[in-house]
Amino acid sequence: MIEITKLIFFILSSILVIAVGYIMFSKDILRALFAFALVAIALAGIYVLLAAELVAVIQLMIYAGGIVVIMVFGIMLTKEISENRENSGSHQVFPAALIFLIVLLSGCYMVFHSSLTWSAAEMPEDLVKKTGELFLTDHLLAFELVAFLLLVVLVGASFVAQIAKLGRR
Amino acid sequence: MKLEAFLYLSVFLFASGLTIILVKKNAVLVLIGIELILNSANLNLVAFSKFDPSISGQMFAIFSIVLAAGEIAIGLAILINVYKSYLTTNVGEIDHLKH
Repeated sequence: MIEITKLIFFILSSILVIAVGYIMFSKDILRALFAFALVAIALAGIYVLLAAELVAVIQLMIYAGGIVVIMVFGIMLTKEISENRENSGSHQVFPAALIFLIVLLSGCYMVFHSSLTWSAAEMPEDLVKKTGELFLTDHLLAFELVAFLLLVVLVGASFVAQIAKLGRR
Repeated sequence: MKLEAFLYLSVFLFASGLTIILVKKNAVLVLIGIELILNSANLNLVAFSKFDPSISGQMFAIFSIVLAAGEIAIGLAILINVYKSYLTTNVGEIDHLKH
């Protein structure tokens, strides 16, 4: 049983690493975007392994369903794919590779020497019900603030997207 | 499964997201890098929540996903606006504040 979990984790994390590497080295924006969708789906699988089914479903709906579609529209409206491909490449590769190695190695060093000795806790049986109760009791202020923020984003994004049109009048 | 495996994966996601932000010329790919960094934070939150009987980590991960969705909507609206006035999405060419 434990071996199957480890195998699934290994497969999902290797898919994730390959897709992230493709985003890094690809010259095609649209393909990099679909690799990002693959990253989001693999992460949803990892959340299922971590007994967070609700977060996994939300991840699938918002990332793989929403954000990728918004970004496809962003790419289509800015027409960079077919016209000049030199704008989709990379610059300052060497310093960035250095920073990548420094951040990766120092992060791995911290994790390696953290000596975390936690053991898996018992997850609540009815996770979704517990989450809903927590939304309306302990995290009520954050819940309302996020709801208000979404309203502001809705109005603000549609306003910002037509500022140029308003300025021309 | 040990906690460290998820933390290593999260470190890799963070480092590669940072690199994508630094390296890429196209602004859409810079936004994808920001999303990768937010995803690594979410992975950390959910991984620590596995070892915690109260599920606060998962709650924070849900809030963080919602904030990421809002951020990407505003970011792309600004990007479309920038494209209307500069006719490019190359972050190296948008440098009017420098001169």
